[in-house]
Amino acid sequence: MFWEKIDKKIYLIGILIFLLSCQKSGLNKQYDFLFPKNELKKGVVSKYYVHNIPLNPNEKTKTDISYSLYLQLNDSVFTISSYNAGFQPVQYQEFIQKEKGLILSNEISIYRGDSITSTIGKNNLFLAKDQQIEPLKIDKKFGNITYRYLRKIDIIKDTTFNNNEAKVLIGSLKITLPDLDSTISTIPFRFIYDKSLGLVFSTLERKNFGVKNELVEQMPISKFKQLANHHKKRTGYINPSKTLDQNSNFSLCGKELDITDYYNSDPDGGFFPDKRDFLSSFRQNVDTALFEDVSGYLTFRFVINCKGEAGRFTTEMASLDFKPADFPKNLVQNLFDFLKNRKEWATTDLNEKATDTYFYVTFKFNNGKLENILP
Amino acid sequence: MESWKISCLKFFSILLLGLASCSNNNWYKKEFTADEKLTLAKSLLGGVGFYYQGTVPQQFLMEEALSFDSTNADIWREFGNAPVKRGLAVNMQYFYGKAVKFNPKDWQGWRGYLYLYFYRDFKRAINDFNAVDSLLGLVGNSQGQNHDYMRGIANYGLGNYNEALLCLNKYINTEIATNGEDWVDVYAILYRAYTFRKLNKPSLALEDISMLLRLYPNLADAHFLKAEILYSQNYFDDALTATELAKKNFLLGYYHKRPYIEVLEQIYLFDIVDLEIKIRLGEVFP
Repeated sequence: MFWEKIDKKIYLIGILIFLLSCQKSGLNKQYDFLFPKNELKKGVVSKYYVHNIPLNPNEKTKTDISYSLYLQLNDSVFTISSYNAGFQPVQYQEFIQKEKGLILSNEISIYRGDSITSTIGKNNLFLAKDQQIEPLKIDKKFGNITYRYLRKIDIIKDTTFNNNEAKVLIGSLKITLPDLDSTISTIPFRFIYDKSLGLVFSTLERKNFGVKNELVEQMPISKFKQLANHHKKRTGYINPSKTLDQNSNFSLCGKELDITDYYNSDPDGGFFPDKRDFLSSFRQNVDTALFEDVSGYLTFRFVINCKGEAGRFTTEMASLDFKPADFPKNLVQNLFDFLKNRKEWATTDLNEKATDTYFYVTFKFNNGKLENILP
Repeated sequence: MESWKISCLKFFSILLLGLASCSNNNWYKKEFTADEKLTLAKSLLGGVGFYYQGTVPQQFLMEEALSFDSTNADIWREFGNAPVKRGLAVNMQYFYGKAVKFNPKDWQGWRGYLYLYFYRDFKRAINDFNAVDSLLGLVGNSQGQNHDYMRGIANYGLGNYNEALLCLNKYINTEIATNGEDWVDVYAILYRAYTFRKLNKPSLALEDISMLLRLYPNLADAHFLKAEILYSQNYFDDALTATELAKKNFLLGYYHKRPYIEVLEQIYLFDIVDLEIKIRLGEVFP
């Protein structure tokens, strides 16, 4: 009897769990197609290929990758976080379900490491429960320029996509410069939402090319986090905690993200006043006995800040046949001291403003002779 | 106890069913045909242009492209570009090595170009130019430069001046015969002038300088070389005039330079100033 009673309770608990776990998003049917159905409360990520297809058939299609993380925060709040091919955040959008429909309550764009919060107009209905009348208005300020995005939906209708039930949403996006009272472009769009996968396909018709966005993979947030935790850095990144001069007072003028490369300006940043002077100084200060019998490419990579100071020195060593190699410690130390003691380096100037920049100096030795200094 | 076990089993079965019922573990992943994969490899490679070279998103795009076609030489070559410009010689060699392996016709000459300009490895440069020309059955071009022309510079760098002259002559004469004097790369004439000087043929060097100045009257390098030769022949006044023209044009930016690197026989302002001082002193103390 006892076990029978327990059994019934277990069944009841099981059914309850079943019902709870099957709880729907709570979104109105008029727009619940916007979000994927699977694991929305935990977070689900769609991976898209974004094809830029030129109208000129002689030009080639260029494909980018983007990720959208869809998440239901509570009964009425939903978010979409977008990331670029490198899993770096690009945009965050927050939606609230209200009586009249789904409201775009917050939008933040990431531009060169800065957050830009959009000003969303009174017409903040992302999708109305009934008919969408007014266009959605969003202002974004990049630097001193405000861009206005007016999104208008003309048609929402049932369709099929890859033999599955779907919705198609057709409209246009008008981009204007309100301060100048001018229109940049009006872009017709078409979005297709699979009943269970959410956004699966979209097209934007730009002036000289079309943008085709296709869902290529959907994944749980756990997998996305795993992929995003890649520890990759830009090619040639110098880790400030792993340098030859980590205890120096060297500091950047700007942000880490804004370090440029010496070749970004004309003339290049680097040797000051020029390489001729650098070579002459090398001959005066570096003892040739240090590289007796030495061969290979000994490279010092470092950062020149906007004041023309050098720091964050690191080395790359290669043999003359471009294999990893080692150089005598004494030589490395002496060349490092020589470089460190150079008082001034040419800055890399962008828009007439000196920036922090990466630079390198390679000493090419061949059988005990300094053959070249590169670049 | 047996009932207890069965109840537990039932409980966990229902729990699992409940958890699994609304969580679909068959996550969507689009399948591509073999042809689509090859097309995607190319278009994803095209997408690298959306990002600054060597950035993380660009690396991911290239990796994605490689996942569809690991034998696409263009992708390997693209991987090699940032290392070339950032002093990462081992990585350059690895990535360009792959590019050459999968498409030597397109990329071996480019690697030769890198050996020549970025690493001053003249022998490897010549080997690459020779190998690709042999494959093509003609004298090719890489990075917009004729292989004979670059073989000429490489031989000049090696000190093989007679061989350099042969290569530069071949390039210059073929170009004049095919397309006319205006189509010759002026710096090939400049290097031939340098070569004549090394071969102790100053009059031929001066002939080339005249040709150079006809094609590019403001080229500071031509005025500078002229000044050096005239100075060595004790024509101080003419040498000084040439030096002044060299300095004026240098300051206006009209001198031989390439992006990223220093060219062979790069001139600097103080080279001209030093020569000017020597000439002035030569005038006083001949």
